[in-house]
Amino acid sequence: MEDERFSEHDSLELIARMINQAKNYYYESGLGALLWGFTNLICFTLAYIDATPGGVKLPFNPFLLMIITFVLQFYYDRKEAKFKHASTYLDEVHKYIWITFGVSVFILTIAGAIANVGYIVLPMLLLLFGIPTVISGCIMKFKPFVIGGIICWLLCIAAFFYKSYETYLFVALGSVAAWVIPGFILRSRFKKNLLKQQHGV
Amino acid sequence: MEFKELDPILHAPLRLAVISLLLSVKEAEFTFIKEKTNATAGNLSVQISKLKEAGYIEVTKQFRDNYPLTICKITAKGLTAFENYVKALQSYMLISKNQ
Repeated sequence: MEDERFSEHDSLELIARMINQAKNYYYESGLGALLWGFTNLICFTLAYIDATPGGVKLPFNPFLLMIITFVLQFYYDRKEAKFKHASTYLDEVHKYIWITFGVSVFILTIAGAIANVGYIVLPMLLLLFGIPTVISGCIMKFKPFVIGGIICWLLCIAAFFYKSYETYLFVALGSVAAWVIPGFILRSRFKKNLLKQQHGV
Repeated sequence: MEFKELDPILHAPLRLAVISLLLSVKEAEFTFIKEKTNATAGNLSVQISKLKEAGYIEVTKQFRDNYPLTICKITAKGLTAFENYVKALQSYMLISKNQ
């Protein structure tokens, strides 16, 4: 791009082109979705096994495994920051949506456990799972997230009628629909794009 | 109709490209701007310095893994200048349309 005089039309065309280039930029490796999707799948399946009458009793609380995921996420966030060359306003929106979601889940599970409200927390958790997932899907124009979020809401309706230890499996299923499957799709897209950038194929 | 003078700082392809890019992101690294504008590192550095001197962008220099990292961000002054530039462009286009 040489520094020469150019017409008004050229200016407008250049502005539109650059805004488009920046608008279409997003970095999403799918790692976060996979990490949390699998963590929830494992934790809630273990919780189901633990809560099943006559089943195996675990010597630890399965949800403590989430501490490992927090550490792993911190590690991957730092690692991925090196490959992210721009930060968009949508990234900011995304970040705050997921932070709000995390705080809401924390309040719901901790307060629910202290108040000993029982399995009613689980459908509410599924309701919460759906909100940021559908919003993210709409923002990113990524249908698997939208579908996954809607599945969480449908599972939430069903879970309200069960109100038993089986609802742990509903949450595990919701995690697969909302994050594991979309995570794999995002990961495969990300790897394809990386190959394109590296080899121009 | 009155002619609005086009801001000479912005009326240069590479500088306009940089401002347009930064307008749409919160902040961007030098490598990102270089890749999107297809400019050479030397030319881009010069144009970024001019935008910085005009107060249109904020440039932060850091280190990441022992490598220098330049991050650029549009300022409020840059945003106003860009808006005025687009308004001036519109007035030019209206005049040429009416002639």
